[in-house]
Amino acid sequence: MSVLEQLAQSVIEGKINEAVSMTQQALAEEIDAVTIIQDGLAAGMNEVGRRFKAGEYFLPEVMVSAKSMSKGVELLEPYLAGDENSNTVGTFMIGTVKGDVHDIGKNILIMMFQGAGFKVIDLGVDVPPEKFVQAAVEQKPDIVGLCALLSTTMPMQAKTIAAFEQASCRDQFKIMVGGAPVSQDWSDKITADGYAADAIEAVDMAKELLGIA
Amino acid sequence: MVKQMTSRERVQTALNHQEPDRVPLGMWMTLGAYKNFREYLGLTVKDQYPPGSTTWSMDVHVEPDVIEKLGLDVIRIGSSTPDGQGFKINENGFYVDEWSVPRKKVEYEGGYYMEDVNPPLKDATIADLEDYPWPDPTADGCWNGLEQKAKRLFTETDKALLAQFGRGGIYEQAKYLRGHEQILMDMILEPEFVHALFAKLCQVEMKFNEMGIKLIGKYLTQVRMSPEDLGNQDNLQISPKTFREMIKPYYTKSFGLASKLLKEQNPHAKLQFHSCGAIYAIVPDLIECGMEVSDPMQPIAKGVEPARLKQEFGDRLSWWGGIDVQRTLPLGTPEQVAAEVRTRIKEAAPGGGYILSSSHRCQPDIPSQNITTMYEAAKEYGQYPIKL
Repeated sequence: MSVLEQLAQSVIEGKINEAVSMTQQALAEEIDAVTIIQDGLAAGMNEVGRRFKAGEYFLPEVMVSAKSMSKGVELLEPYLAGDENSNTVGTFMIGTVKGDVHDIGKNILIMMFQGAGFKVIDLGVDVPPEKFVQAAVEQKPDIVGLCALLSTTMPMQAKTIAAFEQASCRDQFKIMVGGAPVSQDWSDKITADGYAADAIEAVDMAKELLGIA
Repeated sequence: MVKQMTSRERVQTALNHQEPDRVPLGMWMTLGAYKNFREYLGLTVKDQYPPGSTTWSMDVHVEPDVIEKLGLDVIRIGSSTPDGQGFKINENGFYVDEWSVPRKKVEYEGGYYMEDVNPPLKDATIADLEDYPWPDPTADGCWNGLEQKAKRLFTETDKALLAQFGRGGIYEQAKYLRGHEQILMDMILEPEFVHALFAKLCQVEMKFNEMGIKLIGKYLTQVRMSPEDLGNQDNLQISPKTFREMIKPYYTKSFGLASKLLKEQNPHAKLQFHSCGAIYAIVPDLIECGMEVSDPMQPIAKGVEPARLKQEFGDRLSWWGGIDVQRTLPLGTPEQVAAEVRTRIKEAAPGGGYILSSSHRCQPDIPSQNITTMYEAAKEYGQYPIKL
């Protein structure tokens, strides 16, 4: 097994120390950082995503794999220096809408998007509409994702989309919505560009919206 | 024509897997929804209501006047905090609950939740658990007035009484104390710590239930264990294997004691357990632990379709819930609500074993008209024998 295959395997198995040592070894073998991410860490995380979607992995396994990946990425950051933008498939901005602080689903989504080669900007939780708009205008993501776990905070997804319209920048971004109570009907009703039922479908939907499926 | 029953007879009959005169009706609401609903019914609205099942869950014990007005069958009661008070405010301006978990008020349109922040056991070791200020289930504040209240409701109304004594549970409370993501990772990385924490939480839960059941068990139809959310919308949060290794042993102990004490006081009373989500794979485990009423029936979570549950477990298990709070009740028309009630009764009510309620707390996003429609439709379609 090559070092990158071993690195991917350590992410899949959630072996944090091994993910660190394999990342170090890959660097020692002078493999470039972007390749280490794509063919090692992210490749492992993609498999974790597949297993999660298939019901073979549950939250603890995903969390520990995600931690393994992020420890590896931390080591690589000094070598990425401005390089990462040229290699991303797109930029995905994400946050949980105002009134909602639930973020496990969002954090899993982030891992899956990073695994799929997106640059991710995480605005955190309880994010007001105006903050979404301001951050999007400043940082120009391709897609903005609005998470809501509660039926009581779903209307805030609509209000956030309305805030983009009021700021006359709605057409500059694709907006995706998701979260436990959210449905395709709801997404259509509030004129979002895309809805996904889970993190893996969300990645596929994002690629479709960007025409890179 | 089945002879008309009292509410208590109706609930007990249904929970004994027999058909009562009609499907029994329960209610569960957040503070915000409750105030709106009282106003809608033309009843007086107070500024403050004491917390319901726990300090932070923002639910209320719906008062008997609402239960009577709508013709519902179950009144919920329970313990209070050990000091008899609600939240305290700490030096950083956070609200602190009876587990010393800091919380902040997060507002949404029409209401708010008290969300946990800065989990106090985030960096704790096993040794730290001994010194932690656990809530004291033997404190007078938990039980002041409860016996009189239960006795009064038992003698002055014909309603079934459902009580929750525990104030946090095991897996659920660990999320607040340790952090939601951390406790999940701990299950793989620090299993010994998880066992030590769960053992401690189990002790507290058992003592709450022991105190409460000994005090008022004879008046109750159901004891609801502290809520534990084991499921997400699509699957369990943790694997069945992890559940069996890390959690089930504590449920076996905790449900076992509660069940034993309860049946001693009242052989007909049942043990109700709350977990949201897609818990299908561990339903047999939960039954084995002692769960007799599964709360809620959550129709749109994956794999727990009501018809499937009823077919596979209907002879051993009853359900509370069934009318969807994620889509139908907040977003549907009254006609759609009535149609869902009809479907649910057709699926879940034959043979008894079903108490109809919203599938979780009614939140303020649910139009009051949809709530009354739910109960009106339930009375129309829920007459036994079910002919739908």
